[in-house]
Amino acid sequence: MFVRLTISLTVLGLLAACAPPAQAILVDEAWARPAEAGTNSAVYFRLHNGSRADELIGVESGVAQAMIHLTILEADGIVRMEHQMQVSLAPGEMVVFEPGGLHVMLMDLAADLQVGSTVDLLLMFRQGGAHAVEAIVRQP
Amino acid sequence: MTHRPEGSGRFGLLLVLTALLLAGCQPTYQFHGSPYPQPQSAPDLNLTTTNGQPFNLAAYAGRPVLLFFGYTHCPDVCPATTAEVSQVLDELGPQADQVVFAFITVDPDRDSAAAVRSFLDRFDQRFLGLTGDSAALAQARQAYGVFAERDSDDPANYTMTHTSRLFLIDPQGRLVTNYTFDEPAEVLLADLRHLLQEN
Repeated sequence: MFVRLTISLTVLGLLAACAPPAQAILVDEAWARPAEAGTNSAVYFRLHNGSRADELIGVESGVAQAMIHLTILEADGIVRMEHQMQVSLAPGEMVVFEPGGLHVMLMDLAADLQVGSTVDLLLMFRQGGAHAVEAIVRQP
Repeated sequence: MTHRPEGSGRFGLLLVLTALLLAGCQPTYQFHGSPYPQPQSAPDLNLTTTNGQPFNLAAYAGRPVLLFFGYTHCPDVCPATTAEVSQVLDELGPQADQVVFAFITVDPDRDSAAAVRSFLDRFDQRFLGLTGDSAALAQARQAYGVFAERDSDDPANYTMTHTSRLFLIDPQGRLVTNYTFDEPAEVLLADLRHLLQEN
């Protein structure tokens, strides 16, 4: 009995050692629209998920109140924005935050966003925890 | 009296007829976006530019005019559309001076003339910003079938749900087509090039 348990634990330990570690989430091509203090802006980027399913569940910024929004274009040409409580990420999936789609909305900016400056964001993932992002301010 | 060979008159007539036939066979240019089947005169706008001058569409006769209804606090679609027009004008080069882009606010409570000017200057100082009182702006929206509504009762932090179409008026003052936000910049560039070439 003891020998069988020892073998089982050894096999499990070996398997765990052979399994690749969960890959981290990568964020790239982050940029924000220039805007003046008191108005709004948007941040765009690409999310490359790692090897496990995850969810983006929140976002913070020191320069403004930040929310995840989705721009929806209706058939009649009307656009509206929908607040997203979370964004699901399948293993290995890339999700693009882009004009006219998903974006991080920055509301009531505390300072001007000048071209060439940067905006710091903190993306919160259910599994992956907090992820710091630096977005460059530029025109598209 | 000079006697012309009998065949030369017939040949000339044939040439004229051929030219007429070829002209008739020229395909009508098909505008991109959502072209109007029978373009009508674009409704005029009783609005004011950001420098306080009355705006009259007739003053821009002979030039293509683009109209967009948006607001300066718009985080996504309005700056994206304005940036796209700016890029298209860059592509047009010197001909861009003939194109008029007018941005009409749908958010007069926050969009002062100065705010609209400042917003547009981030893209192109040639862009016109149009404001007016609520009644004049509502009339302009109605004339172009534009919807606009606040999405929140919060007096400071709200966004606008609004029509995002970009309207194209030809140099003859006719509303020829409009584009939704998802149309690529290339189609606007092609349509403007056509109008400028035709002009």
